[in-house]
Amino acid sequence: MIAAKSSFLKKAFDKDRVGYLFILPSCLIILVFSILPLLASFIIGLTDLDIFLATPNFVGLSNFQRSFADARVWNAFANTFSYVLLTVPIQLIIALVLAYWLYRPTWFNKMCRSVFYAPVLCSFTAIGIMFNLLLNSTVGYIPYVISLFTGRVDALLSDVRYAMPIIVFISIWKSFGKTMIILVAGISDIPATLYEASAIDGANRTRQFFHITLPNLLPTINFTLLTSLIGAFQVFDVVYVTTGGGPLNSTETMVQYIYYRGFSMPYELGYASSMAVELFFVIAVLVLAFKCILERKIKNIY
Amino acid sequence: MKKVFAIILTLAIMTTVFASCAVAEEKVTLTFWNGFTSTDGDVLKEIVQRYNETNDKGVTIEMDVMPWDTFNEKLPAAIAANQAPDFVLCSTGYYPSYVKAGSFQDTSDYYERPTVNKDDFDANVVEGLRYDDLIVGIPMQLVSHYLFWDKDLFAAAGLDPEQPPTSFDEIKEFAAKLTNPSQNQYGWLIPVDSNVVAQYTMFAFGGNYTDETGTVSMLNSPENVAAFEWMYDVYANMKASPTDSDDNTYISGQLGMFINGPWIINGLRDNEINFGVTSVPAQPGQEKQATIIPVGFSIPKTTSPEHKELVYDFVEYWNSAEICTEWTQRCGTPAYLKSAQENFKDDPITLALSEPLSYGTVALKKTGVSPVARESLYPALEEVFAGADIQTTLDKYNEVAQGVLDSLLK
Repeated sequence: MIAAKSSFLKKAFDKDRVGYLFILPSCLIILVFSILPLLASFIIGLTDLDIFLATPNFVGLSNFQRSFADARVWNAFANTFSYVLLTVPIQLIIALVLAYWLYRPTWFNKMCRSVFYAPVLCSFTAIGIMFNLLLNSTVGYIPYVISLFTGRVDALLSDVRYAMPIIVFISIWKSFGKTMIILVAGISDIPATLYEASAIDGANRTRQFFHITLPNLLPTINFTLLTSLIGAFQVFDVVYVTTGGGPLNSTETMVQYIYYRGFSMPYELGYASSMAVELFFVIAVLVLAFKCILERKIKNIY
Repeated sequence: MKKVFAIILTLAIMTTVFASCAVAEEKVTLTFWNGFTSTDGDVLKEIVQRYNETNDKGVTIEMDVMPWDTFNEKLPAAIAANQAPDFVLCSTGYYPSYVKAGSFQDTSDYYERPTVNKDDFDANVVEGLRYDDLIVGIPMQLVSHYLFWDKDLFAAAGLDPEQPPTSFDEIKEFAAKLTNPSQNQYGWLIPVDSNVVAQYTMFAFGGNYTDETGTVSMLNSPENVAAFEWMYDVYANMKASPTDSDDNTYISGQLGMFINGPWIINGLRDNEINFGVTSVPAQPGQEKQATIIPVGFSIPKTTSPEHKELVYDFVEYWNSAEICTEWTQRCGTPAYLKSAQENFKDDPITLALSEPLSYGTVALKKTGVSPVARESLYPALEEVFAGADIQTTLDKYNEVAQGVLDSLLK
């Protein structure tokens, strides 16, 4: 008995296997909070479950059929795509330029990096409320300043033309700092000898950026691009706090609409889950495609 | 030796734990959820605290206050999982889905208690909490909506500060005088993400969301078209309403008149706005209408009969003339107990607040206003204000509203 036990322990703590023990807690967390809910939403999407959780009926694929005919789903997907297409590249370019500019650890650069990183640490809800007040046409400061030039007070967040661009701006302002810090770390990892050698050959900073920094940074860019892409598809809090999807659903993103269907009367969790599943597949396909393209590119370089 | 010490220590700890459990059992804790997150929540907390200290049954009420949205997300799941609180506060607009799901117990036996006088309650309020045979809650508060006006802005615009408008024609006339875009000052406010003002405008012209049964959408009726024409005129032609608004807009001192609930009064007072309040008028020839929103004490089906009785004790404490008077004084909501109304005979503001109680009704009682308003009224307002044809837009959203009603009544 004791021998068997000790051999089991020995096996468990074997050098080759002990690693699994270390990742066990994370695996459990991912299983309980990611994989099981994911499977559950697949199943709930096939039912007419509501928030009272009472006797759901199996309704087959009718939730999916309904979503294809729902104009607000298409509108929400279109809004989400335009949000992703605007925020992800702009945020990356700003972060890249600033990272290249500020990567040397001088006192001034460090201060700038901290300032740009500060919004990342703030809660999106607090930022949303702050912008709501700043942009409000009756009490806000920004419309007041604009009115000094134009002579009239514009409602910014409740105007179909400006609402989405403003939300994109808030998101970029909030999150480019995070991308920048990761890119700074990536740039610092590039061997200084490459820059020295290129300087001897007469390359200026712009040239160095395009021929040394950028290619060497591709794996890091790959990572930040994918994570910000996934995050952007799931955008919710900023929309929820600032416009709630309005005006005229012009800022209603997919997650906002899913939340609206699931958590307001009549609480159609089944329908909401079916749309969540659709969003999952859209993100999965796009991210996998993106990953393949980027990784092939990286392979070609190295 | 070490082992013995460890065992003794463990036993000692366990004894203490069990002993403290035994002591705790003599006291009863009632859990209580609600969405009173504003300043009125502080008053509620104080009154609950006072009850905890003074009641002779050893009852401690543990109150959990959360925003109503959170409340409505948590409570159904808690009831399904048998983890629900002993009692809750629920507002009229939220009741229909709980009633449909059978989440709350019948509370008609409350009025059979020997110490309860049913006649002291405003009958309209008790009726507001009845769904067919089910008395779903016992009154805790009642609110309606009112017309507020800023007396200083009235005087500055050459209007009589003591004469509020008596019809929607007059509201339009006054709003034109009170609006001054260069000062960012407006005469009236029509929010596109709230049902209240649009609803009262429809009422004023003799319209409503539905027919009397509450099942057939009437959004495109001629009365409602007239109401939308009025709103378009004020909003788009006269530009007498700010295009976006939040709670601060009402208390910014830049609004000549507006419709809102009594909860805005404390904010107006804090900002030293010299305001008047009256019931919302109708157009000439139309009867005044109003919605009333009773908030009720409700008991989830998971609560035991013993705890239900203890909850009733607290509800009785709440529905005494003393507490009802205090709540009215401190929170500005009208008193619904006749014994408490006696105390406000010389208080013009509270009298004005009580006026709609006699003729007000619960809007869309069977389905709740918010799902219908969000799917049809808000987009209709936004599209009409953006210049869409009123009749076509209302025809379109009448169909949408009917679909929502049908799915909710299914």
